[in-house]
Amino acid sequence: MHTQVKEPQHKLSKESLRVGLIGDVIFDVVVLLIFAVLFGLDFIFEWPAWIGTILLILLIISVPLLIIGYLGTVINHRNWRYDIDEEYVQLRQGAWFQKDQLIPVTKIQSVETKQGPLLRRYKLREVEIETMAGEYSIPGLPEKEAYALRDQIAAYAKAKEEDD
Amino acid sequence: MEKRRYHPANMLFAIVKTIRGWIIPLIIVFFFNNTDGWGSYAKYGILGIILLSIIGSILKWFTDQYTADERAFHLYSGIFSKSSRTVPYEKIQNVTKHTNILHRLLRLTAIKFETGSKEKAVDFQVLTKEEASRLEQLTKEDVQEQAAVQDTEIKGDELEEEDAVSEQTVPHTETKIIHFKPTKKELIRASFTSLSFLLVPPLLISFLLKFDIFFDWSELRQYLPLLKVWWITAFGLIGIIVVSLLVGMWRVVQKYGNYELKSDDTYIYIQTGLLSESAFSIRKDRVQGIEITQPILHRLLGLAKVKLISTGSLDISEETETINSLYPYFSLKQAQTMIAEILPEYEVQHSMERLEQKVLLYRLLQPSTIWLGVTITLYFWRPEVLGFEIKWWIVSIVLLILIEGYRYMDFKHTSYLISDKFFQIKTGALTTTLFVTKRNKMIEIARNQNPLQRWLKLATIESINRAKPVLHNKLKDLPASEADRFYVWYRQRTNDVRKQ
Repeated sequence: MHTQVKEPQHKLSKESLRVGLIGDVIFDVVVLLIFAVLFGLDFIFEWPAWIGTILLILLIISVPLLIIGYLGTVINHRNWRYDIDEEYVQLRQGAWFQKDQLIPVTKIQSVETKQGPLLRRYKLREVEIETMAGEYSIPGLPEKEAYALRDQIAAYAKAKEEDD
Repeated sequence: MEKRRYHPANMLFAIVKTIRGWIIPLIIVFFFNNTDGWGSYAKYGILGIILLSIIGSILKWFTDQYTADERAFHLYSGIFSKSSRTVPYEKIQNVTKHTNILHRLLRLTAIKFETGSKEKAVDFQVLTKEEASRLEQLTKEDVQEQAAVQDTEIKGDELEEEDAVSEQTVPHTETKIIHFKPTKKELIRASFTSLSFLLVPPLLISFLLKFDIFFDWSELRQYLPLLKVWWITAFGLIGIIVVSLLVGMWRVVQKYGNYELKSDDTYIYIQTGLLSESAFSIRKDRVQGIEITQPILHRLLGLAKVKLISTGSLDISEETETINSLYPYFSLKQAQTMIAEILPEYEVQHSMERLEQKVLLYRLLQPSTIWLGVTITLYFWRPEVLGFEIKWWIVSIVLLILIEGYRYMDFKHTSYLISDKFFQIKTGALTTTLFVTKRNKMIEIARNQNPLQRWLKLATIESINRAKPVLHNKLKDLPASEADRFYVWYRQRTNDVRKQ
């Protein structure tokens, strides 16, 4: 009996990509603000010249990194997969560096959904699964789907008592 | 059920522990500090802390209580805010007993019931031996009853495991079989193979160097000609060797003089220690896996260390050894028969699969960060040692050879086996580790692939087992098809797990 590996099918929602990108924008704004403050301080207090040079180099390096960040968010979002059946939770992340995880539902200790201000704006929720080995989260599912998923996992995992 | 206080000697032990913890600051403050300025305050401060913690431990004794009924421990604690905790016996993973010298003088002992990777253990630091064995017996009886009624009862996930089946069919008997107890000859052999006698000469030298405040090196010079008399030198050397051997032997005897490995149908018992005794017991089906390690010296001598992986942590106090290990001076063969005897469900296979040849090339060609770092640093820095400039390229080449040699050894030793119900991996360059676990004991698996691995059709797999801390075992660069097989194989895990 040699069945093929069944790949996880479910994808993340489109809105969650938007949330991810908005998160990136906020992050970039903060980074640029920090740079602005540093440059300002440099200008006002007349720091030694080399500090200015280093700041400039850092800025030049960080701009492409920030742009790559957006690309990373998009790629990660596209390649995120999850699947749940009566026996296993299956997660897949990453395009270049791919990571697959297979978690028996009996080993799940708790499921919860979470929501930050950005996620609330788009009516999304994050489902967090805690197992004996660690915590896993499925980010940015539409609220209804997230609740359904939570209840489904809870139902599958219910038969067993906490093992640990 | 009547609540009990802990043994009153708990207070004594707590006081001794406090004083021992603060003895060094106390000495510093009292003897090496003049009474000027903050020194006197520090004195009172430290005395105050000690007094407070002594009062605290006395209060704690008055407030803390416990009961043990037929199903669970109930622990009550808290001076101001009270709390109670219930720990069902079925959660207990393993039991460690420890009797240090102070315990022995007062005919007492300590016992600890480990419950899992994330919870605190049920820890009795001081109690009478009778009470300890009463509690231990209680926890064990419950488990057996549970096993018996389990068929009808839909409860308790621990019992999902297939091992529970064997437990039901075989009635528990009290007869313990002693599997191993070192003889004098084996102890002597162990003290040689442990090589701990080699510790003595360096210790002696560092002792001499540190205590030269008591004598003057220049005064010693007049005695140096004595070394020319051959018999004085010979006696001196023999003396040092004899002392080294005795010390080495003492260390081994102290640890393993009393060693005993026993088992019955359901449990494994390990006992060690001469002056301070430790005992460990674990239910066979709670063993999460086996680890056989061979450091380089062990490999040369054909010896092996065997460790039983268990969910609870095993150190009962800082000074005890990890006693989940079997006798570490078994020959590899002896170790394997011992495993077969105490854990008949485990089959350690010898023929394992190796990695493909292309993996060796792939690994050898990977840039090494250590090598790059050292080479670049030396190229710019060029330090001098004893007046000679170190040729950066020599160091660089030697380091590269060492690193590649290390990688080659690791590749040579790496092997794996995904058999019917077992997963076996062996890794390590200098110290090899063979890890064996059952499919139903793995709580999770993962599979990774980086771009280069994808191109070479390789993958990395990871097994996760319960332990404290959680045990991750990685096997890198096996064929991707094998990684898929591993995935499918793990999916069929439900076959060996008893459903409720």
